[in-house]
Amino acid sequence: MAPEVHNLSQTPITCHAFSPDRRQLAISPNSNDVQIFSRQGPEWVATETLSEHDKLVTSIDWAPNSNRIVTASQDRNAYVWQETQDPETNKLVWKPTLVLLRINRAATHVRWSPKEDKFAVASGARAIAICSFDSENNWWVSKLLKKPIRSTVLSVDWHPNNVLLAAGSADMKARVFSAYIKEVDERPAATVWGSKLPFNTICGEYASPAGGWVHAVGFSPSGDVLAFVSHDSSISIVYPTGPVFNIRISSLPFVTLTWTSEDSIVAAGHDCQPVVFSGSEAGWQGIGSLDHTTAPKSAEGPRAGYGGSSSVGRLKAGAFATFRDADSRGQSSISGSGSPSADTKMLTVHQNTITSVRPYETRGGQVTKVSTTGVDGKLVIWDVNDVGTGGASAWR
Amino acid sequence: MVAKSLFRRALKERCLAGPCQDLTHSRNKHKHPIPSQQYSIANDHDPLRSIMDTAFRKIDIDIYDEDVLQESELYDADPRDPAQVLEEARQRQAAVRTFLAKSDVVGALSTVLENAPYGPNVDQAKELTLQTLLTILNTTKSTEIPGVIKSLSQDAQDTLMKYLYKGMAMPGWGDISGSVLLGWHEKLTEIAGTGCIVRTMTDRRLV
Repeated sequence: MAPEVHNLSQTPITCHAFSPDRRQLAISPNSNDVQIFSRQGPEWVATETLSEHDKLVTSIDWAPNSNRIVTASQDRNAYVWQETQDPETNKLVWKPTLVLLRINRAATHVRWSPKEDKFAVASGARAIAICSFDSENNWWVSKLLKKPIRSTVLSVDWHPNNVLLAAGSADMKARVFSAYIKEVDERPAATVWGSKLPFNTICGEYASPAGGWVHAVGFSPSGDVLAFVSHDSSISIVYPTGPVFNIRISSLPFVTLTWTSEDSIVAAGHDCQPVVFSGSEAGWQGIGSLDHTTAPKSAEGPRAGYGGSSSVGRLKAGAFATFRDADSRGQSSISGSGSPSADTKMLTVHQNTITSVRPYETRGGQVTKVSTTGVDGKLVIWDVNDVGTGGASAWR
Repeated sequence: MVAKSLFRRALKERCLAGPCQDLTHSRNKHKHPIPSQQYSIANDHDPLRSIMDTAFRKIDIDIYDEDVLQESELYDADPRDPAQVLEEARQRQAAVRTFLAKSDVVGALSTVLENAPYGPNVDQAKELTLQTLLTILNTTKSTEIPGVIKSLSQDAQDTLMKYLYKGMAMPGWGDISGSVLLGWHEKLTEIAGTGCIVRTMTDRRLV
């Protein structure tokens, strides 16, 4: 089945989150606003704008059970949005509540805990704010995870037990912390990550193989396995009591990932296509791309993009040829009659970096569809089981 | 507003540098070269001159940050002793000659790219390894290159890419030939992909 493609925005989409029933969608159009789209038939229609932040919104998460939205922004704030009835018009509107994050740099990523009584905000202040609701004072308070983070935290992900938190950071490490809050959590049962878990316990620390920033982290559905992608074009899968697998890919780095089942992961990023990895404790490998990119549509000359053509690294292709022609023959392929679009259009569905991939549809504990948004302003919904060999060697 | 605060900062940094003229020297000597006596604007510097003076730009303000990320924290140091690294580089050079005499390019390349020296204090070993590698690269026929690269391990391919970039950054050094390096680069990128180049850029274990 072909993926569902929606053009939502002329601007890059920095992040997205679906409502529990998937009828609504919140995105950040690379600005200080959050836009809410509603599904009307096959179309997505912008219905509401949440304006409270005054700098770029970096991350959005929509709690599936309590129907609350949390947003994080470069203005160092986070807001929790709740849908309440407006007393005058009787319409449902989103009301923001400020969160006291106590960070002095941008908030970069935010995720609700599985029980939705806490959320974690990653930040450039070398800290992760674990926020919980203080009902006495009626606001969200935070507790900071600081040690031993040495640089900006780029992503966080919760363990299903509501206590452990994975974090990927620009100091090239992925870590597993305990985010146990006495007032909120019950004593967690022992897991493969450890048994005694006071706040800020470090249960694991893993470096990226060739010194790349860790862009995204994710626990497997059971929480027993950790995966992370880093800027050295690699994906690592960690079994805390067993092996660590590093898969180096031959294309550009991934920046986001999601587990679709206990033995498979979808990762995407600068290569503009979601790639499926599959494996177990015995070994992991890339099995293909969800994007059915095929050979260049036009027979003449492969292009120099990264969509999987074999011309990568070859001189005299793509941009090189364009400049050479312009230089030596005064030809400009932009105005020329040739095939300008063939050379500038990517073969992949996404025409630019994919910024986030998230589960969209779950059946029987397995994610069957994932959604991606990218710098090209597109939202694409992919069938996870429709794995093609994709752009040749891109995911190898 | 911004200009004003910049100006203030410049003045502050000048004061921090204090009476020491040789800034790098002062940095090495005293851990906290903050003088007890602060210089006031009025009696020491003409404000305009302070702006024109650019010496403050060279002050490493990071040393005042106790939390600064050190080079040594970016990667695991080479456990080997620098002398041992140099000795190994010499041995590899000899081994490579033997391989080349048998015209075994794959063997020679794998040998030289294995356990390549990285990090500080091993500059001589690094140069020796680059030299050894260049003899291999320069003597390989261009038609053989793809086959050779394909039989290298992924680690060796990544290290080879690092050396190609190192070589291209040192034009005129030893017997570096730009066209040879570009030829290898083209073939290596075709086989190992752009990911290999990305890893060369991110890896702090510089060869």
